[in-house]
Amino acid sequence: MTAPDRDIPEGEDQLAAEYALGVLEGEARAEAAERVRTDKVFADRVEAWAMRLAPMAETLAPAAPPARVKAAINARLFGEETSSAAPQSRAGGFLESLAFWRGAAAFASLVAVAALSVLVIAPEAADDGARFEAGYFAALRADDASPVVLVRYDAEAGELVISGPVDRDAAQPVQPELWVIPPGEGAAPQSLGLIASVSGDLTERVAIDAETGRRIAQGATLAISLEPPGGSPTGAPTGPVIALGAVQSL
Amino acid sequence: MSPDDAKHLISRISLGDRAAFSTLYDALSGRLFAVTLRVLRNRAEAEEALQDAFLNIWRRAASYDAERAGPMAWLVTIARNAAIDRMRRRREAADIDDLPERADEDAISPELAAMQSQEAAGLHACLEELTAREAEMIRTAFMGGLTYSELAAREAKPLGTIKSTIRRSLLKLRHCLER
Repeated sequence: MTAPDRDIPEGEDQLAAEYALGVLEGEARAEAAERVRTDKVFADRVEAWAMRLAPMAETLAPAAPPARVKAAINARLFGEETSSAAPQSRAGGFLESLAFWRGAAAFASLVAVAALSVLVIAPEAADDGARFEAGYFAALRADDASPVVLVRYDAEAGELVISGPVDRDAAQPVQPELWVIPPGEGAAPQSLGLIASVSGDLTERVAIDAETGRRIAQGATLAISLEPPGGSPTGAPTGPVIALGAVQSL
Repeated sequence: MSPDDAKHLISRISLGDRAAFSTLYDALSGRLFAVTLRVLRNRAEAEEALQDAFLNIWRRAASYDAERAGPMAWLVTIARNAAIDRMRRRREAADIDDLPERADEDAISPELAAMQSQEAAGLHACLEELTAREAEMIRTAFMGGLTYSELAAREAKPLGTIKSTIRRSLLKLRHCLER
């Protein structure tokens, strides 16, 4: 018998191992699953065990899946059949080119929101706090082909100024919501507020406090998602992300 | 595909890069399909589980932490979980009692051993240190997605015996892997 680890309670780690291996059942499994959701330390232990055990499955002889599987995945995630059949008209607006996001929304309990670094952050302002006041902007878009939504920080007014096509589908009861995703791994998006539809040359302003303004300047990512009227019910993006981009200093 | 290539693709996918997603699928779907097939032992269901797995890869790519997990370990864990979820739903729905075959077939071939990750080499070495029976039990539980009572029924052994064998094996594995 080996000596028990001094740092990790044996029973805890054993439970995490059993859960990761998948041998628990019934109430024991349900309780462990609940703890994974609510207890970060336990969840990390389960994750560590899953990664220890996973190599058993790495060395199975590969088996090519039929082509229909990839097609089905693309259809489920991106609504592919329609978008490849009909060339997008540029005048058709922002959302039209973003059919895949809407397709994803049908099941996305979790929309992956992450930085699409369309522009490089210029870091030279980092050593000089005062220069954050000089402002910054982000160019948000959904993919390389889509129109760009510009978000500019007006330090004097303490507002983000949004310009560019943020259409919304009139038939859908949705409202665009602006998010900031702080730099760093796994940072949760925070709402900056709802925005009205912006089209043509109109701009929309979202007031933010100076502290938020400074935080955004430090290399955050901005994103726009479509949410139910009144905004996301959960405090995190629930609808399709229609545009995102990294903030860069001016 | 090297682990670094896979890491790079996962990080591109977390940015919503569909081309990277397609490349990852083309390169690794065969290895993940092997996982869902092995767990489910039914092609139609394994295809469905593979779909579920890639949907989860797309959605969870941003949560992948390269510091904590090799890309293949992360990917096969998603595939295995997708397959086990399907299997459990099926069992709950139909109470089908088609337990998987024994685990000897999971012994790895030399070609595959050559391309296995460092982590895989470590785990296989540690499985070798278990008794044959312990290693087989762990492999069977893991690859078949079997619970304690399913293992007990299969081995025709008391539940308590199965539990203590598994727990002892897990503890040995951890100590071996931490050396």
